[in-house]
Order: sequence, then structure tokens, then C-alpha cells
Amino acid sequence: MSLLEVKNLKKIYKTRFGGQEVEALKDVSFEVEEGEFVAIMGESGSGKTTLLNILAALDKATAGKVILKDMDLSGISEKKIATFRRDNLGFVFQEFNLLDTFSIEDNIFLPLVLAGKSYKSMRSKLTPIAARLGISELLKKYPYEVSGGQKQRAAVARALITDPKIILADEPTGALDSRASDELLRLFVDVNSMGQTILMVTHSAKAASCASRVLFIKDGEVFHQIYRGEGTNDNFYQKITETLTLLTQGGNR
Amino acid sequence: MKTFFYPKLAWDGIRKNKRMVFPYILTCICMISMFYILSFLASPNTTSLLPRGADTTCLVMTLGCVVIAVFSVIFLYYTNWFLLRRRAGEFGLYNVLGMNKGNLVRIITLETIITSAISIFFGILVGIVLSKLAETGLIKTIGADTNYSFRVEPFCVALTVLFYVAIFALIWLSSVIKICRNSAVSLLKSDKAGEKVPKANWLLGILGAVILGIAYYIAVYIGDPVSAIVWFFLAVILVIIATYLLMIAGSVLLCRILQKNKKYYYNPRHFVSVSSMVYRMKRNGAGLASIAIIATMILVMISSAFSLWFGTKDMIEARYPADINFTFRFEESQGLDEERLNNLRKAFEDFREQNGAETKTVADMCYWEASCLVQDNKLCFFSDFPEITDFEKLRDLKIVPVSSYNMYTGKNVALDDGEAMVFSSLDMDYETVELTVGSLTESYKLVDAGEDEFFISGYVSNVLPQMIVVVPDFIRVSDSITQVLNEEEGAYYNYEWHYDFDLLNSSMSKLDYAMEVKAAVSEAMVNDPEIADKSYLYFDEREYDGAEIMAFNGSMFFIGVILSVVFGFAAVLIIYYKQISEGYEDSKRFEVMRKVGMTAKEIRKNINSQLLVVFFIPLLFAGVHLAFAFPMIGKILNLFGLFDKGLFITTTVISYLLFAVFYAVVYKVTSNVYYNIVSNTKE
Repeated sequence: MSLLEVKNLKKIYKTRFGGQEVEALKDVSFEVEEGEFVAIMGESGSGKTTLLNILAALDKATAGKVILKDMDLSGISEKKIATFRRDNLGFVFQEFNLLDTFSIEDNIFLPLVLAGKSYKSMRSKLTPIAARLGISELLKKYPYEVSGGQKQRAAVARALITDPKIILADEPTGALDSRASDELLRLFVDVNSMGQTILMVTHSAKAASCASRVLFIKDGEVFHQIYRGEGTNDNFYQKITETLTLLTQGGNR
Repeated sequence: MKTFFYPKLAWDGIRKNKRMVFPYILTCICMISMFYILSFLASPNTTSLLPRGADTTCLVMTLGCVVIAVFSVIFLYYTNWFLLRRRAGEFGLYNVLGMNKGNLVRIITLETIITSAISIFFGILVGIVLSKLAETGLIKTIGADTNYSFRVEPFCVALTVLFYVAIFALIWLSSVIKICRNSAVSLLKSDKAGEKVPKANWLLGILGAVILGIAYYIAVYIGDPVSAIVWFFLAVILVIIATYLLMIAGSVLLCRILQKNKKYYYNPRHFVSVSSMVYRMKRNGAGLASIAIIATMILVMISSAFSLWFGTKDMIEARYPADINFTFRFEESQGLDEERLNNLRKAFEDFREQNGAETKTVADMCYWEASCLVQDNKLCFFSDFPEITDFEKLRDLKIVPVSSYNMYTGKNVALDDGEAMVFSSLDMDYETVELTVGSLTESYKLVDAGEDEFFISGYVSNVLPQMIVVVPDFIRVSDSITQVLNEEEGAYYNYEWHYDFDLLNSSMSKLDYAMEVKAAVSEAMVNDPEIADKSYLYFDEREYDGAEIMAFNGSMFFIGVILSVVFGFAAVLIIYYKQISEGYEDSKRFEVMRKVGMTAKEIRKNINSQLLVVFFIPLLFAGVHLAFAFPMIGKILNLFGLFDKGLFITTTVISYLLFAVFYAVVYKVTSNVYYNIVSNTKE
């Protein structure tokens, strides 16, 4: 049984006036096993973000199913969806989405506070995570006082602190320079090696080459997927860029 | 096409920001129309419609004009700064896209011309339409007859237009300076500037609390009404400073203390609201403080205006106890000889009979009056205290013969030699009372005066608290004190006789009757050589002289209401802008929280508690300010002749409650705007 199952997902947007329909996702199916690090690639407009929003329960699919550990996302009531999101999903965004009103520490605590955890238990959870992410020194600072890479690490800490079943990352390296990107990706690999499942949307081949599997999406469908296998990062990177070239040239599978 | 490019851009700028600009224009219209109306009311053509007190009304209205003028400058400058800050990004973008500063200035100039033209045109229009209503209202308030002709005062129109054109020019200049001084990039970023979380500043917070304490102390412990006015202004300034300090630094401090309490802070209900309050207070503390101060001003004005107005009838009756009130003032006690007084009474009586009128005597009493200082049970006179250091102990002393007391009250009190009754606004818990001047000391044993109050109406009593000593040997004691006082120069004292009566039935008007009876009585006095050039008499006719009080109170009432409307408008606008700007800020924040797993309900709850706290802080502050200002305003109202504390308490409480309702409604309406902004960006 897979951790995450996506079956025949379809999403149609209707423009408000005129009723013109846009098909963002045609028919997407894939599975993510526990402990996997999956990257989803595709050009802008390919439906990546739509897919991620549906997986995050921020948006509803027109048809098809998303099953996370035996739970059908479409079956969860509107009321419980926020709790579900809080308990099962961790998010890392391109723009970090840290709140400037909170210190780094409070930003990381946010999901736990919302879940009504005690300060002591939050504290004991934070200490190891902060140490692993190398942000122990920054906890009392405010987001505007730290660099982009540090902000993103804080965001990762916020995603990890709830022990989510899966981390959903939306272009996590998009706003970072190459050094900070490398650091973050190493962190992802590290976290993944300890058993954390990660699903990352990206258009950077470099980022994708850290994953154990890459799914390519084109025109609202899974176009192709490749596994890392035993190959090195460089090998995998090579394979990814080749596939991307194929993708843009409009070739068939 | 090209010629219309900039006007079109300017018009678009206004249209796209109508959420901001429309209320701004509305407030401008309100201020301009009120300015016109007040200048209209101050104009001679309006005041000439008043029976009396035209000068008073003109003065009060002119002062009101000045207040609105000053307030307009500050307030419009502030709002424009706010608008500009929100739009700086737009201008920055134009700049980056290739417009030079000159083009930007051109857009701003066109926009200013459009908004100010609309504001001034409609402001004057509304002013003209409402001016007749205001005039009728004022005249009805003062209690005179009004005509129904409609007119426009060209001078007032010109004044208003010129003044507001000047203000808008000033605002335009400041905008241009801001745009020219800043680079494109800093303009682009300026609506995001200042996002730092403020550090708690202990010093400022404590300073604010201390200043507020001092101001409150002054307000509560200032004794006499004369110095109250001076101290009042000091207290007002201190309160304003303290409010700003407390709102900006103190509230951050408070939230920081809350944050220190982990159990309280890390609670889903407080977590978000406390942190955003800290974040918000410093930047918006100034806004909140402004709201609190404006709210206090409105409350003070409304409550005192209504008190004065509702108290007018009582004030007039206290000052003029009867229809016609005669006062005879003599330099020596012989003026108060019973025989001489009987002659005067007879003169009144003869005149009444000649004219077939009917009168009813309200007061007929003699007294000796001077100012004195109270020290324990000693009453000392001025000559012993050339330098007055303690205003609070000053009293308007009246020594009254027991016969006058009995005649006035209808009682039959008998005082033995050396016995006296004292009536004072302050308790005299002593066995004896001593009147001392120089080496002379007159000592009396105090007799219980019972529960009834005794008060003599007159001018001086309006300023100093009255102290009445009823004695059996009136002439002897007052003469001996006078004798000592006369050894010094500039001693001030009077022997007076009050004769007040109602005119029940007469063919003459009250004023005519009073004037004619005065002539008749004067003749009787002139014929009495012993007092002829050592006496003075005058009268007050309640309707005629009361009209002055009526005009003053009516004008004050009217101005209080008008200024409250203007300030109310301003407060609403500040609240509205706060909601809008916070809405835009918070929409991003709540979006993040939603992604992290906050339910829409939790978000709404959070918003509610946050808004509630933040918006009711000013109301709370205003209430506390008002409570502490209360004794001081009460004393100033004493100066105007209003002594009815109960009335003042009632109007204050009612004004506060009404204002709270008004505030809640404004809060509700504007928070809907906030919700809309926050939830719109969610989808």
C-alpha cells in the first residue's frame, strides 16, 4: 500500500464570465511510497501548482481521488480539512511564507500552537530539529533579520515539527541563490534519508536530481517518469535534462 | 490622444484607489462645508438676527472656525501622507517604466486639482444648502425668532475657497517634495517599509505612564476654577503626549509582557493576536492614540455643550432669581438703615400702585460683602494677605443680618449675641468662627444652620465659592471690619441691598417697568443727601440679561455639536484607513496561516479578538481621560455659571454611552471592509 495515491485526477477551471473552460489537469495518476523523495517537473502552465494545491487540500479536484494513508482527501469535510492539513502535511514554499510578526522560533511553533500543544512539548521537539537544520542560533531573531537560505531552513523546520506524513515543497529553491539552494537540497536528502517522505514541485533540473524519482507533467498529464536507481547525481541530472529537452521539443514517449 | 494621457492617468489613479480617495474627499467636503457654515454664522448678517449677544456668538463661531481651520491643516496633511504612502509603489512603477519625476509631478498635480476641485465645489454647495438650517438652528437654540429668507455670503464663500485652496496647495507641495526626493526603488518599496517588529521601550512606556499620572493629578487636584483653565490646557497637552507614548511604547510593552508568559502566549487563541498587536502597535499606535484623543475631545465637547444647554434655564434663574433684580450698593452702612430702606421700598411700592401693577417680592436682604481667605475656622481679609498664594482658600464672603435671613427664608431664627450661622459650599466643622483683620478679631459661636441651603445670587459668586455668615449684630461687625480695612488702600468691600421681585401683572414690559422704576427710585435716593453720591444702583431684568447667557450657551452648544461632527468624521476616517491598510497587510498573513493549517473559523475568531482589543483601546482610553477630566471641566463650567453637578454627570454618562454605540457601529461597518479585503485575496 502506497503512502500517497493519486488516481485519475482531473481539474477544470471555469473563467468567471463567459464560462470558458480551462483544463489544468487532464488525467493524473501516480503513487508515492513511504520514504520516497519525489520531484515533479514541468513547464509553467503544465499543471504542477494545481496538482500541489489539490494534494495540499487547498483546492478541490473536479474528478479523481487523492488518498493519503487510507484517507480520501475529497471525503474530508471542510471543517476538518485544516486539522487534517496541520496533522498530516508539511509545507515548504518558494516565498518561505514566514510571518514577519513572529520570531523564527514562533514561526516554527505556529502549527503546534494551533494544534494546542503545550510549550514544553513544543520546546522539546524544536531543539533537535533546530540543531539538525543549523538554526539553533537564529531562533530569537525575526524573519527580516536573517538571509533567504536561513528563512527557508526555518520554513523546513516548521514543516518538520509536526512529524507530517508527507512534506509538500513548492519550488523551494526558487527564491534562493545557488549556494543556499545546494544547502537546502542537501538538507532535503538528509531529512529524506531518515525516512521523511517528500514531494517537491520544481522546474530546476538541479533540484530534481536530488530526488529518488522524477515525474514529468505536460498538458495536465504525467508524461514520463524516471528513477535514480544506482546512478550518481550527475548521471541522474543528465537523464533529467535529456527528458526535459524531449519534453520541450514536443516528442512522444 | 496624447493630450489626454495625463488627465486620464490621474483620473484612473483616483478611480482605482476610490476605496481610499472617496472617504478622503467626503471628509474634505465635511470640513469645508462646516468651515463655511461657521463663517456664515459669524457673519454680521447672521448675528444681527440675534436679539442680544451678537458679539458673543460671533466670537464663539469665529473661534470654532479657527479650530476647524487648524484641525483641517493637520488632519488633511496626515491623510494625504497616508494616501501617498499607499500609492508610492504605483508611482515608483511609473518611474521605473520610464516616466520622469516631472511626469509624476504632473500626475500628482492633476490629481490634486481634481480632488480639491470636487471637494471645494461640493463642500461649498453642501455648506450653502445647510447654512440656512444651521442659522435657523442657532437662532432657535438661542430662542429668538427667525426669518426664512435664504442667502449666500459671498465673503464667506471666498474665504472658504481661498483657505482650502491654500491647504490643498500645501499638501500638493509636500507630495511633490516626497516624490522628488525619493528614488524609484525606494518609492517601489515604501509601502513595505517599516516592517520591523518594534523593541519594547521601557523608558518611553514608563515616561508615558508618569506623564499621564501627572496630568491626571493636575486634573483632579486643581482647586479653583480660575487657575483650572490654565492648568487645564497644560493637562490636555500632557494627556495628548502621554496617550501617544503609551499607545506607541506602552502597549508594545504590555504585549511583550504577555509574550513572556509562555502559557498565555502559546495558546491558539492568543498566539496570533498578541504577536500582531505588538507588530501593529508601534506603527498604528499613533493612529490609535489619535482616535483616543479625538474621541476624548468629542466627549468633552458634547457633554459640556449639552450640560451648558440643559443647564441654561437653571443658570439664568440662579443668576437672576426674579423677573427684576435690583442691587443697591453703598459705601457706608448708613445706606442700610432700616428707615432708609423703608423709603426705598416705599418708592417701589408707590410706583407699583401708580401703574396698577402686581409684583411679588422674591428677595429683600442686606449684606456686607468682601473677599476673604479661609484658614481653618479663621476668615482673614485681603489687607493681611497682599500676596495670594492659595486660590483654593479664597471665598466670596457675605455677612448677612439675621433679620434678612429670616425675611428671605421665612423662618424665625433668633441668634444671641456672639452666635452665628455659616453657610458654605465646604463643611465648617468648628465650634467657632473668627473674622480677623489686623489686630481685630470677631469671634462667634457657631449655631447649627440645619439642612437647608442658603445662597445669594450675584456676579462674584460665579467665580469664587460663596461663604455666608449670618450674624445678629450685622452693622456693628461689618462697620468695625470696614474701619480696619479702610486703613489700607484698595480695600474692596460693599454694603448691599438686594431687592428682587417678579412682575406678575403690568401693562408695561418687564424691561420698561424696571427702567422706569429705577428712575423713580433713583430720584428718591438723590433726595437723600447723606447717601446721594456714595451709592450706586443697578438692575438685571431676567429676560433681557438672561439673553446674553442664552446666546453664549446656545452658541457653545451649537459649536460643540458642529465640531463634534467634524471630529467624528475625522475619527471615522482614521478608523476606516486603519482597517483598510491592516486588511491588505493581514491578507497575506492569514493566507500563510491557512496553508499552515488554520481553519477559516479560527482565522475569523483571531481577527475578531484582535480587532476588538485594538479598536476598543481608544474607547477605553477616552473613557478614563474623560473620567479624570471630569472634575476640571466641572470647575470650568462653574465659571460659566453651571453648578448642577448631577446634570453634568448625567450628560457625560449619556454622551459616553451614545458615543460607544456610534463607535461600535463604525467598528462593525469598517471591520466588514477588513473582512472583505482579507477574504478576497484568499480565493
